[in-house]
Formats: sequence, C-alpha cells, structure tokens
Amino acid sequence: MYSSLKENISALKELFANSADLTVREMNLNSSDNKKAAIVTIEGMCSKDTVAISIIEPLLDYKFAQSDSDSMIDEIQKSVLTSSEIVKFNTLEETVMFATSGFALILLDGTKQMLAIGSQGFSFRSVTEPESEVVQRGSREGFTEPLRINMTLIRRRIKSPDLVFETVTVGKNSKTQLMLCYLQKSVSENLLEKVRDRLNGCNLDTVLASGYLSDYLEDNSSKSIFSGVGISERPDTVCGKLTEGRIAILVDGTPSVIILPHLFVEEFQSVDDYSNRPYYASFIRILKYLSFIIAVFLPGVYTAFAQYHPEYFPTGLLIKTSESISQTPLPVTLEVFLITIVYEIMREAGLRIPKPLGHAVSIVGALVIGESAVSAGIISSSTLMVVATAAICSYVTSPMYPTITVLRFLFITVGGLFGMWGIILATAIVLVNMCSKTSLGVPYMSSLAPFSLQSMRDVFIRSSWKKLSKHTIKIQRFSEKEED
Amino acid sequence: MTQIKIPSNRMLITLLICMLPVILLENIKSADKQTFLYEFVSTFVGIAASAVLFCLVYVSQKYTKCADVRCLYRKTVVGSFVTALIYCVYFVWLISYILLKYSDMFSKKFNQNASLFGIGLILLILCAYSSYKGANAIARCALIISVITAVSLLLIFCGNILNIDLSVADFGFSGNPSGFFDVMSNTFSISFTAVICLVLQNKSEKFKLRSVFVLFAAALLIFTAFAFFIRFALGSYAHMQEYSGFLLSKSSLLGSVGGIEGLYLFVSTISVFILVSLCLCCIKKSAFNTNGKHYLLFILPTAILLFCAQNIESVRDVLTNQIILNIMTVVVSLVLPAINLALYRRDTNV
Amino acid sequence: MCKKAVSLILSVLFILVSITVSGCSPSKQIDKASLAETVAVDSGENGLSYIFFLLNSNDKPNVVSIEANSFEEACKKARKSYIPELSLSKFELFAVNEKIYAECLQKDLTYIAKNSEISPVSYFTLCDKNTLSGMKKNSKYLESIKEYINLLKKNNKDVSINCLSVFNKIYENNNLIIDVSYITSDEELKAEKGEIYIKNWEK
Repeated sequence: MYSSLKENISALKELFANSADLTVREMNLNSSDNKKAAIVTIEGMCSKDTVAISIIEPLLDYKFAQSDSDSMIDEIQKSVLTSSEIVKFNTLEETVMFATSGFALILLDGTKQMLAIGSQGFSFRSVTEPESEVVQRGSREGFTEPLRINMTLIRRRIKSPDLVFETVTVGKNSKTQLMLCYLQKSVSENLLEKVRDRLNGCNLDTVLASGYLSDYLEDNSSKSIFSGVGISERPDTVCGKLTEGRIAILVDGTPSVIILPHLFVEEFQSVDDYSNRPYYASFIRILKYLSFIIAVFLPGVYTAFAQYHPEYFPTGLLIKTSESISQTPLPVTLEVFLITIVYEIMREAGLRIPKPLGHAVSIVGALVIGESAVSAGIISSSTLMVVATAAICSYVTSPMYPTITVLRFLFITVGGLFGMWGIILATAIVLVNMCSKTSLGVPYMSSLAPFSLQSMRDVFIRSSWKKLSKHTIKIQRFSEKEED
Repeated sequence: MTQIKIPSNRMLITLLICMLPVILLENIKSADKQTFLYEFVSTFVGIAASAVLFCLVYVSQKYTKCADVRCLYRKTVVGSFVTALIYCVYFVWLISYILLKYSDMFSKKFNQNASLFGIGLILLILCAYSSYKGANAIARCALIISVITAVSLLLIFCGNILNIDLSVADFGFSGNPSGFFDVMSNTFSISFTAVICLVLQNKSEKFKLRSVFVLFAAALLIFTAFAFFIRFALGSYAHMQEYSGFLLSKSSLLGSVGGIEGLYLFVSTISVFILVSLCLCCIKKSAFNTNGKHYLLFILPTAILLFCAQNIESVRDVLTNQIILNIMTVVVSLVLPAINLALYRRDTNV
Repeated sequence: MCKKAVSLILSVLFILVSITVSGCSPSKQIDKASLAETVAVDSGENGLSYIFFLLNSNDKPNVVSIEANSFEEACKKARKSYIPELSLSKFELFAVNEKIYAECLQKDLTYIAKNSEISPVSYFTLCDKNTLSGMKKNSKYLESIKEYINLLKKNNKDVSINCLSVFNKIYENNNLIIDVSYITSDEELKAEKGEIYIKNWEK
C-alpha cells in the first residue's frame, strides 16, 4: 500500500477493476490540517447503518489533537470508534481479504496503515432446522452459510476454553475461509496434523461447498464408494463428535460441516437415539441396520432367486411370484433394473422440480408406474413391490443413499448374471473394500473390525447414559500404527 | 514395505476361517467303514499333529528371532531366491488345491454347467483384488465374516438336530487303517495355517502360544461336530453323495424352512475367498516384500494349473492329493527353517 | 488414459468370459422352471407309472404321468419329452402305492439319495389307490397329506416319515420291517402306521 490516499484508492479501484460494488466515501477529518480519509466498503457486504452510525459519525464528530497520520490511526482505533472489532493492517492481500469479508476499511492520507472495522451486514439465511437431518426430539437449529454464525452455534454448546477454532484459507480465487474446530485436550495431534497437511495440499481455484474438499481429506478417495468424511448440518451432532476427539471443518458459505475421521457405524447413529429411551433407541438402531441390508441386498437377492434359485422361495410365495412374473415380457433382471432406474429418475425429478409441479410427479409416479404399468403387464407387481421396499428402506439411512444406490445396482447385476454365488462374491469384495478403507488412518470399520467390545454399547444398541458417560471412547484409539 | 500387523486374536479367527474349507469340502470315501469313536480319534490325531507342527514353527520363529521368512536365507542372493521360490510354489499349490476342490463341489452340487477352470479363475481374480488391499484388510474382513459363519454353522447344525438317530449308533472302536489314515491326513492338512502364520506374522505381534491351543481346540470342536452330525443325522445317506457338508445343509430343517444349502455355499465360498486371498498375500510377502503388483504374476501359473487340472485327470489327482500337500507343508514349515538353523546358527540374532 | 482404457477393456472381457465359462444361464427362471413338488408311484399298464405333480396356482394339480421302470428313468424321459425344464429342487413328497413298493423302493430311494437336487428330508409315504386318485384331482390333498404325516410322527416317534430316515433304517437294518407312514382315504383321509420290508438290500 502507499502513503498517499489518492494512490491507495486508485490501487484498490484498479485491483477490483472498477467493480460497481466498490464504494469509496471520502471525508475530511476534524484535525489541524483537515486530514483526508476514506471509507472503503463492498456494497451489500457492510451494513450501511452500522457504517454511518458507528464509523462515519464518530469520525466526523471527533476533534483530533494530533496531525501525524500514524498517531491518528492509533487514536481512531483506540478512542474514536465504537465497533468491537477493529484490526490494523497494511498489505494489499489483507485489504482484499477484509473488504470481501464485509469489513469497512478506513484509509488515511499520509500513512500506509489501515483499519478494518467489523460491520458485516450481508443477507443470510436464518438459523432453521436442517431438512436433511430431521429429528423428533432434539434441537431445531441447523448450520447456516456464514462461518461466524456456525462458530457461535458450536460455542454456545461447548462452553469450554478447550474448544479451538483454527482459520485456514483454501481456493486460489475464492479464498474461502475454513475453520478447523476441535477440543484441544481430546483431539489427536497426529490427526490434526494430517488434516492441516491435506488442506494445505488442496490446489483448487474455487471452493464453494464442503464436498469440494472431500477428495483431499479422504484416504484414497477415488477407490471407494463409501464416504470417508462425515457431513452434518446439525450443531448438536458436531459437538457430540468433537467430544470424541474428532475434527470439524466449517466452510464459509455452506451449512454442511465436515467431520473427520468418519466411521461406518456412525451412519446409523442419530441425535434422536440419545434423546429416546435406550430400549427404543436400540430397536431403531437395529432397524436401521436391517433397513440398510434390505435396501442393498433385496433386489439383487430377489433377482438371483427368481433367475437361478426359485426353490429358495417358500412354496406359496413361489407360486404367486411365478404367476406374476410369467405375465410380463421382460426377463427378471431387466425388469428389476428398469424399475430401479425409473424410480431413480422420478426421485431426481422430485428433487429438482418446482414445488407447484411436485404433485404432478407424485400422480405420474403412483398412477402411471404403480397402477397402469402393472395392469398393462409391462412390469410385475412382485418386482415392483421388491424395488419399492428397497427404496423405502434406503431412506432410513439417507446419508448413505448414494452408496446404497450404487451397491444395489451392483448386486442386481451380479445376482442376475451369477445368482447367489455372484452375490456372495460381490459381498466379499465390498466387505474387503470397506475393511481396507481408512479415514485419516482410522479403519473405517472400527468398532466392528477392529472389534471393540467397549464400543458395542453404542453400535447395535444404545446403552443407558449412565453407562455411556463412564468413559468416552476417543477416535484415535482405533488408529492402527502400521498399515499394509 | 511397512509391516503387517494382525493382532493375535484376529489372526486366530482368520486362521480358523481358513481351516473351514478343509472341513466343508471334505470328501472321504472310506469313512463309512468306521465307527464314530474311531473317526474322532483319527481326527484328534490329525489335529494334534497339526498343533504340534504349529508349535514347532512358533518355537523356531522365536529361536531365530526372525519374523520375516526371507531372513532365513538372507546371507546369499541364491539362498533368498530359492527360499522365496519354494514358498511361492507352495502357496500356488495350496491355492490350486483348494480352488480345485471348491470348483468340483460347486459344479457337482450347484451348477452342473459350470466349468472347473472358469469358477476357479473368477475366484482367483477376485482374490487377487482383495489381496492387493492387504492382509490387514482381509483379517478385518474375516472378523466380520466369522460372526456370519458361526451363525450359519449353528443353523445348519440346529436344523439337523431332529434328524439325529442314535438307535443305529455304534459307539465301539472299530475301523480300518486306510480310513484312519485318510481322516488323519485330511485333518492334518489344516497345518497350512502354520505356514501362513509364519509368513504373515511379524516380530512385534507374535502369535501367542496359548492361541495355538485355542485355535486347534476350536478346529477339533468343529470337525467333531461335523463328524457327529454326518454320522448320526445323515447316517448311511451321507455315503451316497460327495461332500457331506453340503448334504448336511440340504437336510437341515428349521421349522418349515428347509434346505439352507445357500448358507453352505456362502460359508464355503467366503472361507475359500479368505484363504486364497491370504495365500496371495503370503506370496507377496515372501517373494517380493513390497507393495507392488508383481506378485500377481503368480496368478498365471495357478490359472495354467487349473486349466490343466480340468482337462487332464492325472494333474487333478496330483494337485488334490492331500499327502503331497501335507509333505510340502512339513517341508516349508519345518525342514527349511531347520536347514537355516543348521547353516546359520551363529547368525540368528537378525 | 491408456492404462484406464486397458483396465476397462480387461474388465469387460473378464465379465464376458466369466459369464460364458461359469455356466450361468437363465435355464431355471422362475416362470419357466417346472418344479415337481410331489412324485407318486403307481402301477401302470406296462410296469410302473411315475406321476409328477408340478407346482401351480390352480386348485387342480398339474399332473404328468410317465411310464418307467424307475424314478431315474422317469426323470430322464420327462426331461426328454414332457417336462424339459423339470427341477426336483422343490421336491417334498414321495408317495408310493402300498402294493408295488417292493418293485421300486430300493432303486428309487438310492436315486433320491444320490441326487443332490432332492432334499433328504422329503416326506416318504405309502398310500392306497384312492389316495393317489384323490391327489390327481385336488391340490389341497397334498398339503393335507403332509400335515397328517407330521401328526403321525408326533404320536409315533418310531415311524420314519422322510426319505433320509427310511433309507438309513433299511440300509442299516437289512431284512427288518420298517415302520413308515401310510395314507389311506377309504372313508376319509388319514395317516396310519404302515410297514415295509425290503429283502436283501444291495449295498
């Protein structure tokens, strides 16, 4: 930066290519030499009222005793302004960073020093319940887009000095701010160091969502269909994970928070489990596991049985299924495939369609596919029922929906081609894949393999809080020192 | 290459899973002429001999302070090469042995149109993929599979409880020597687990001695349970078909649900999968000791052996001969280390 | 890029080859397979008549009668001419006319024992002519027969009701009378204790 105000303003305008939202408010301060000053803001990022009342008004009202610019800057910082957040800086990078973060910049003629005053006033979504993680009994608050609000939501729940927020910037162009969030006494330094290294290795130009970072944070991300990072939009979930020694990464501009390391068994845990009675929570937990198995295996097993092993059906079911399938023109495998694909198309359409037209999708789905296709004999009712059951079951563990979908198609294919033998082999391959996967060095299947008896109190069942509170199992405990 | 670290208990479970193909794919024709007690004694002798071999391997490992099997001939390049080759040949033979038995069972019981070579090759390729993931991953997988396997075996046994007929039981001790030898040889073949343990275990996480006894006690229990149910639930029916294990699953009746041979297929397939994958890991460790893919070259000779076995009867007979396998097991697990000790006794502190 | 293309080609080849050599074919499709649930043996014009009761949804059973000297021969003839997709994997009941069991029981039970498709715990029963006629007319007869057999077993523990126990008893107790179930429908359908005697079973 320069000592001359005019040069600084010119430099800024050139840097921002005379962007229409760059606002410069020039003024003469009440000093002996009527020192010139300017307030630079990005329109829309700063609150105009805050700037007017907290910055411009005090500056214009104040009578400066000194005329030295550096002393005046100090005086402004310490004695003039009422804002709680004032930072002194003098580099161009910091200028850009503060300006684009909603700070109002004060430039003074005769000094390279500048002040950034916190006066954010951009519009953002209010704190509402996250739609993707709905619970019956629990907080209705969810993360929003601004980073500071998300930090507050976590801080309010963990009122401990152990809670640390560490700033990281990623994205060459977007300069997206991230916050590494962890509990100092719980987290493993080894894991923390790994996260820092991986974020430093992120060479993206733009980071607009937390999903962009997943590939950099996962171990061997491209080789597994299971996600090695956890995502949550709930502050209570994130806080619970932090107490287990995990690291949360808050990304500015997105309500999805990344949680590392991430285990398979966590996909079946939810906040409701800890609010409900243990017996009911255990029942729901087991139901989730069963639903996962049904969602993944049912269409494939049905295809395998119908195609190669009809004797495995109970006699009554065999007769009904045979009757129903014999009336349709397509082979069983193709039928299951088609219905599953049509269902996926409808699901995707339902997701993207504008709300006023949503009813049309429901009608088309129910009547055309559910009723007409079966009556016309294009698809069989037993196949439709199998696919529908699997689809419903996949929503019980909705975070795993992408994984379940891929696995479902895999098992339909191998079941249709090779029968039960193919399904058994595919299961073995998927299991090996899952067991070889790690998340920051922690085996993905931890609690199950490597087995931990102590963890079982919160895997298939949910023990009472008295038992759970006796000892918190830290995630780093599952790390294996040596890998193959 | 970083060390493989499989904790003692997990290794125990993994080796137990590896022993299951021997029991499930058992096809002894001479067992009908002996009583249950006679068969139990021959089983016990076979398992005891395997346990003794395992203990000797354990002791030799401890005495040489040598975790890496290649350290046996570390002194010379030729020695290292020869040792590595012998171990690789052994594991290729073991893979062919087990795949041939499995393919034979599959083609006879589940799909008459299946080709021996085709089934074996598909399994081999999938096991190659899983071996690339590493022995740690396979051992973890075995942990999860062990639960499903235990439940499956329990269901098979429970489903046969009503078929048990002790009225025709002969609790005497009679049989013929060839039957004794056949059963003993079959059960002794589980000693290949000693070689797998020898190759995969490293210095820091040795397989504890008491685990050896637990392992073989569990094996004896499973073998005896199978023998008991085959003899008293199936009786003479068992000798009318091959693969009594399959028949046992076919005859199980759980309420109105009958014929759970799908569970038998699951258990036999998955245990063969684990065993073959581990054997490929052993080839990787003993021959190359790196994380590379060079060990996958050994799939080619295995595939050639499978192909020859499908088309030439004598090749199949040699490859599925238990006695040859047992002799090879004794050589690689005891004779080679003994030679090393004799030659390089002073340099055992490696 | 080249490596990925090679991997893709190899994967596709692997799938094609494995489909071909693994012998997987949709020959047992649920709608095409003819699953024989029950087989009854009666006297025929030229020897024995094997009656295959195929699974179907109608009240009237789907019946195919084949003249043959043994169960094995009957199956071969059935697959060749009458029921190409015959499958015995759902086989549940083997009913034999009381008057002709001595002619066929040994070879048929041996065939059942050697056949890996057939469950060893399939029911075995003797029955009279009326019962066999009734079975051809009404599907519900077959279900009732199984229930009566189970009831008989509950009341008489020493009766052998499935192929496994009948085979074992005959095989191990040569020249002895074996108690089996006997279905009669003179006045009403019922299960009684019947006897079979096989002289000199060839081992």
